[in-house]
Amino acid sequence: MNFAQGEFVMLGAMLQFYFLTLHIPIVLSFLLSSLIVGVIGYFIHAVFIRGTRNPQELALIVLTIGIAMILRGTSMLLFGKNAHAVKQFLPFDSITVFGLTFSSQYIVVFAGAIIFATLLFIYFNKTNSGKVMMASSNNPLACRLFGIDVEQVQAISFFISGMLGAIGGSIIAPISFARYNMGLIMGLKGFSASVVGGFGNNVGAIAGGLIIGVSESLAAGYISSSYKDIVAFLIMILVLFVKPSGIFGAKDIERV
Amino acid sequence: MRQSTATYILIFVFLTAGIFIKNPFILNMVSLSALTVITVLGLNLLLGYAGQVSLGHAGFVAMGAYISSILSIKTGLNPWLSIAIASAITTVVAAFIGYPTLKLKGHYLAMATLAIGEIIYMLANNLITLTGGHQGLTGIPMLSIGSFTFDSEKKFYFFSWAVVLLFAFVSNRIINSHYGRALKAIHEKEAAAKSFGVNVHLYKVAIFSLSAFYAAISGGLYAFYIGFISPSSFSLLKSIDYIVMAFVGGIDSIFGSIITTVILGSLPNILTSLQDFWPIVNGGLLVVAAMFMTRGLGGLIKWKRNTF
Repeated sequence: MNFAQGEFVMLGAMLQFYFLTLHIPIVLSFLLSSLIVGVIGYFIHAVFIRGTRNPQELALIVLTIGIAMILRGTSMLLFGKNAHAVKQFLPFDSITVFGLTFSSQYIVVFAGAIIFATLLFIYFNKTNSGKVMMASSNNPLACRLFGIDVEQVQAISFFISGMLGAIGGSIIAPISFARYNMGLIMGLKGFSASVVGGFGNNVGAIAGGLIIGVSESLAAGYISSSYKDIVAFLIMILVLFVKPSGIFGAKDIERV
Repeated sequence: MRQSTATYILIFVFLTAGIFIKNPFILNMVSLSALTVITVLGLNLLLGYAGQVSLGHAGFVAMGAYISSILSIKTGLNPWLSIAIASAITTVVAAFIGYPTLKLKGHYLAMATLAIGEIIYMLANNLITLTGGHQGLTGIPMLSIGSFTFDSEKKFYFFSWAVVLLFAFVSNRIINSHYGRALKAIHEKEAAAKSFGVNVHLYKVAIFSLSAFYAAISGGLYAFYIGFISPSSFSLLKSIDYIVMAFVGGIDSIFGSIITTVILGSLPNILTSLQDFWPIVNGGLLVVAAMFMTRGLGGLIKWKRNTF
């Protein structure tokens, strides 16, 4: 588990904002920011995760919490404490469908989610390197016996998760603004979605995200918008109680 | 020297230092550190003896502080009694959270506590009629025993360190009991502990609830000392501060944790101009401790081992 994942989202949004202020075209700044954060993810693995003298689970978790704090603190020093508005991807501001008007960025978010979920699905199910990555996370020892360089696979997975986090961040930035402290709440929401859907399950992750997102909006509409974040976390805790493997999760979740 | 002996000596040093310190600023700062020590001692039990991390301890401190102050403001309940009730409620809530999450392999507890911490923080901000929202809650009475009121920095200083002494004693007794050794075994090798008949799940839930109890007591005392609480004192960054103090001090070292907590708790008050750098400093300390010295500061000293 990587507690710095949410900070990757924040960095993606921040870099997107920064590159746009430099008048770099939107497509290019999107590519740049996701690539840079991917490389940051790779370096975090190479320097910290691989360099640690003490690769125990608890120490690794505390390590990623420390890394998250450093990323967050650095971003606060570089970009300030204010929320930054980020320009939309499409040239028009809003769109009207069936009499409902909403920001054009929602189309980008929707399309992006579908595209990247499909890509991930293909990667993990159809390509060799994706299958190896799955296998290394399930049973690193067995993979080592088959001659797989598990460390290398982990490094690549840090690169990919950094890149995906940043893609999510820069796509969502025009709606949510870019702010130095957005990372943890984003990471926690992502975790809630994957717990609700089932950990390590891509279809479940999307379903979980939808369930959380829709119930948040319903809570904001019917109760009060200040309670909308609470709903996401309450749903997660409820799922942990009732069905810890998640709605789409496999049955064989390890219990102590 | 045994670590427990060193711990008691350290606490007595702080107690006697209180006689000589005249500056109310320093007295106040070190008293507040003492309250933080109580929370960190609880977190130590969780980290060192259950191998789990909580990212929501500030939330438990907040529960202790808010529930006890609301009780004594709205119903006029005796402060001591309201702290006891608030701590009991917090302990039950923690057990409720720990029960499902500690059954699962992996670090679900970290995420669930992060969520609980955020929920409590948001409730403190939004339940304005009860908590006063982000402007905070005022008019919390002072603690007193009979006609003796803890109304000066000096009086509270001695009181807070006496409470630390009490909780350090409790921690020591737990660590060196049958129960503590079973916990230690769980942390070292869970399967082995299980095969010796240790009820792993129950022990983990119990230690987590106990660590929330420590936090709630600390929160309750904080509220009645300062007389004012607002959500900003219980944010997620506070939870991470606690982790830094417990981990850098040494997850199974009470001695190291007390020293680290007093230093890290006081420094931000002295070096106020460096406020913006604290997240980076904290993160850096955590990274270094996690990578190179897992047993923290307390692990650097060769303690005489207890033979049992």
